[in-house]
Amino acid sequence: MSVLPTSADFSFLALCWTIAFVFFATALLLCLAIVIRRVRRNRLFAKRKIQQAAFQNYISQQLKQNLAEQPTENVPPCHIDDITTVLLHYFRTLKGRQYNQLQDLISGSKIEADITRSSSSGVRGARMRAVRVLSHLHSQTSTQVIFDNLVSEDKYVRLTAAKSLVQRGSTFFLTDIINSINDAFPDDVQLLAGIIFDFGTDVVAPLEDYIKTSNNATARAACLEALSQIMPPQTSLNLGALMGDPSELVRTATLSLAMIARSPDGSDPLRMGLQDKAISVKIRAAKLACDQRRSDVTSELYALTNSPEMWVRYWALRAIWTTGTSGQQFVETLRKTNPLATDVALEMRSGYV
Amino acid sequence: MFEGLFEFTNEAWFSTLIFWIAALVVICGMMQNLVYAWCLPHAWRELNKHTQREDDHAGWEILRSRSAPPITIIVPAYNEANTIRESVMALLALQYPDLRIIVVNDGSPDNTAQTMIENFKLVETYLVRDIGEIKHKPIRQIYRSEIYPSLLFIDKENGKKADAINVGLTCVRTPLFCVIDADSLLESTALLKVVRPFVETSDNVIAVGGTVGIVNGCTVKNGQVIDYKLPKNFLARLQVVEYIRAFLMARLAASRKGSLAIISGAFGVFRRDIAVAVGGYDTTTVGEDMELVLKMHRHMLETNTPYAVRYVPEPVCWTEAPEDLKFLSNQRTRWQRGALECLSRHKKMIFNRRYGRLGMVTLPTFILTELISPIAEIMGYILMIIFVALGWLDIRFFLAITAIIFTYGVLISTFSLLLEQDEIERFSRPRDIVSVLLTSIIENFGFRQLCSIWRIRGLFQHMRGMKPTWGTMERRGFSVTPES
Repeated sequence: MSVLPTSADFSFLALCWTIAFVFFATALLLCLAIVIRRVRRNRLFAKRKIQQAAFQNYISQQLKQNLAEQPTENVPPCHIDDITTVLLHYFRTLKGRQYNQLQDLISGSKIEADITRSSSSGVRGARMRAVRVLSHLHSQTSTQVIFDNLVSEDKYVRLTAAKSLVQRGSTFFLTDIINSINDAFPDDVQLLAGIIFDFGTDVVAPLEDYIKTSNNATARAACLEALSQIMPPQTSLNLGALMGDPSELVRTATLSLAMIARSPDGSDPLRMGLQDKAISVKIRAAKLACDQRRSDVTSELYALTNSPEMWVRYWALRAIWTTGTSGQQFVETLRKTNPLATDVALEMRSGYV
Repeated sequence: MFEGLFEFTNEAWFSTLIFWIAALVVICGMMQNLVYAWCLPHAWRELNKHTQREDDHAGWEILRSRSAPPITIIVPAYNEANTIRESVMALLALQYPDLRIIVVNDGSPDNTAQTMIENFKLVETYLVRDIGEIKHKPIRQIYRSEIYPSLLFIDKENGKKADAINVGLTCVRTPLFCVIDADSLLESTALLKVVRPFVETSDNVIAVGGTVGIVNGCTVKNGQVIDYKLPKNFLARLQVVEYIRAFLMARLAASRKGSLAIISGAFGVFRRDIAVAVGGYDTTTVGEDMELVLKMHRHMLETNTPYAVRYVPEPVCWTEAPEDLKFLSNQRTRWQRGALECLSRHKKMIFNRRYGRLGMVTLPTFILTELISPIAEIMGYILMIIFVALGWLDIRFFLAITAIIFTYGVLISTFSLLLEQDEIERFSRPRDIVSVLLTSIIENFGFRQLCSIWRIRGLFQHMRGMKPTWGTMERRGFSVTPES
């Protein structure tokens, strides 16, 4: 047997071992770097925790002082993120005199200047916290800084700024808030509606004006949803005309408002919604008919029980059922021709909501 | 007698052949890690888009707003009588504005149904369901809870996990649904994190996956992980390193490139309409999670609808890892079978331009790393040992090749840990980091090769056409707090 070992070329072997060594050495160095960095970070966290406690102590001492006393100038050193965390905690938990005292202490101080700086740079969470703290201050600068953040490149900072302006009751900025949030979250009707709703009844008239003049379907739908949540007893909007809007979103939101407020044109948006061509509008209308137990729209609801869309049929049958005994008997009679009627009857009897 | 039989071994072509076989072993041995090396910069960029911890505030803004879309959690359960109460209680405590929970008992022979009925005051009910094209085993009874209106319990005949999820899917009325294993733990803010890609982009997101962490060794209180510690069991510790690499590098990079093909069965959120349109989960495969994602990809690509499948890098779900070789080998074999079943069912997509990056890059890479690489690696090792034993290959050459493969693996594992430490920071104790680093070195010497053998076993089982079953594992339970 003349089997000879394949002799590896020395330079090739050396290359292989060098590569392996470089890989391993790099890995070891990385390991070392990771551990050192972890230790340093842990020390930094510990140091920041101590500083945060000292700052918290400083604030509580200041709040114990009389209003007439001048605040102590030597603020203990603390990272700005920790300052905002502490201040947010106090602003959210304090009330009355102490809340006002803290407002006075921070407004116009060096701390406010630091918070203002941190609201425009750094990571998202820190900026959001800074804007939130600024919303509690009463200086004119803070309002301007929050307003400037309405056009921030970060959509969540915008969101915080918008909510902060609403918290301050700055109805003057309503249009800016709508445009800013609509630009950041262009498809989100409920988000914008929720923000505007927090203004309360003060913005009913401006919202109605905006709906009449704007061409932006999402923003108009959000305003309509906000109005339905604010629940004004009546509206100057022509709801019948809005039910003819080309946007499904607007028509659906109009239905919500129609359940709350009377329209000057005397139209019946619910009936129009049940006859709408869009599935989403029909479903919303049938759901609202279900909530309102309207027996005068049974003929429209009956027409929907033959819809090719299952959930339209389902909500129509439920709406008919909720009108009372006659409605229930009506659904029972449909059982032979409409298989879904059997299921709806069983579901309604079983108490499933 | 054998004089002259091995004469050819002196020939130059034979030396060249042996060299190329050895080179092939190097490449195949490094294949998976080469893919990880490609993933590393992409995953890094994706992670650096925003600081994860600071980003939690954005999630809270969504929670406080009214835009969070309603979600239904489907929990398929089989023989979970001992843990189902705690699991459901933990789900009911999740922080989310509009959440519904559907627990589906897949004909468990134990007391799962009875436990649910007694603990949650369940009463019989009826429900109109949108079945669409979904087929499933018969339902015995649907129950609703008198104390938790958002809880629904379905008792059905045994049909395996995918069938149980399908039944749940027919009862979902929310635009999004989430599937989790009954033995998984969700972070209290998990839904907030995974729902954000649906809310904040206009990319038509159809599915979102999240990082699954290993709960072994962690301190769990009231269904929440309150202190993250490394498992004491070495096998579980090896899996921690493996999970970091797979979730933080591979899936994140795939998500960035728009070709994420796997969303873990332990936790994933999907658009209901798309899932129903593709017929729900496939009941004939063990890889039902990957199968659904591939079907959804395929549906969107074939209908030319722009879409996105996203991935959330923060740990959102915790699961117990097997601490026993037998259970681990069964799990890995099952995963491999699942992956191969999916690849064979969707072979039309592979190297097909119509399916974009998924068809041209992701699936071929899958074949390379899941099918070819383990076979070539194990065969390569065997051949090289034979060659060395017969004296056809210089042992120094064999050692040098092996050293490259192993040190490269160590380097990649270290990078993945660097990634973890840079953004997620799950390990805060230097001792834990050292331990993970040591584990990432050791795993290259034996564990990785063992995984390749299990993959080959999965391949054989796939070729034999074994039927899907519920994966079984001996569980220690979450409520056990490790001794300090």
